[in-house]
Amino acid sequence: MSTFNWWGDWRPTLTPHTGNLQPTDLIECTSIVGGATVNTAITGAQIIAAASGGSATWGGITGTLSSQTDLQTALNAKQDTLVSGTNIKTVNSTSLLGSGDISLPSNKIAIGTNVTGTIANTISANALLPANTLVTGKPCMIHLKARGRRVSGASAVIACGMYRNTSVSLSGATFLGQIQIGATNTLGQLERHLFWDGAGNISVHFPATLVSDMINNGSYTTSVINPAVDNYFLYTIQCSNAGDTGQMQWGLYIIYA
Amino acid sequence: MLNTFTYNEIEYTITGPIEVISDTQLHVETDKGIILVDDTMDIYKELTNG
Repeated sequence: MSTFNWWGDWRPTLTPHTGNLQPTDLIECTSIVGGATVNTAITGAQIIAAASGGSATWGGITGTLSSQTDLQTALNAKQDTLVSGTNIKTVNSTSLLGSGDISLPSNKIAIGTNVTGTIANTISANALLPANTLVTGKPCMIHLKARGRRVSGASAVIACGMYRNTSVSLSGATFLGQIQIGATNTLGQLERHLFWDGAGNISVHFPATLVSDMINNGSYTTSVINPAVDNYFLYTIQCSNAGDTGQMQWGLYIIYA
Repeated sequence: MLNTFTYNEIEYTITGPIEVISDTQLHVETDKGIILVDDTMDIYKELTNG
């Protein structure tokens, strides 16, 4: 005769059924302890809870990941981590990663103020070239344009000039070009094309008193610029008669990178 | 004759003519372009007395 440590059965008083285990099912197990029978009741609810696992403990997925089709589909829908210069481009060598704003410096325009009561060369307008706009290793051209006008007076010429400096001051500023509005004229426009060599220097075609540097094969002048600090383009008025009033109506620059 | 000056920690070498553009301002041709020198700069007095 065989000896059993455990045996059990459905509790005989419950209504029998077929199909899945139900929470109300009750199984009675019996064992022999010290020569006496001990009954242990296990409910269907206890078995279902144990089978569904309770609180999950996550670990490594065994088997092939791609066989976890729903997980693999969700992973496939995710975007790769952005890596500047690899799967996302830069703008003028500036990374787009992270928060914040990247301002675009091109097409800066400045409206001038009146200059009168002096025959000294005087700033009428300025346009900021922000630090690090010019990038080492990235040559570019800067096109400066400006229009001066005679606001009042008609007795003498008015000079309209362009300079560059690291502050809004003419002291130590680098001269870029100048034209003169004749005694009977009211407007004068000038333009200059600066070339940033990507290494620390700016050169400008130097027909100093011509309206445009595109109409003459004059010489070049080169000046050192520190691109790591703010620079300013200064648009100046110089009245040869202190009683006249002149103005840089507007001055602007455009960067062609 | 003075042929170099320093302003804002940049040393300039005078390479060409000095033009008087007003009673307080000069255009000075240097190795770093034409620089406006005015009477707020130490070099102005030296250049106008020279």
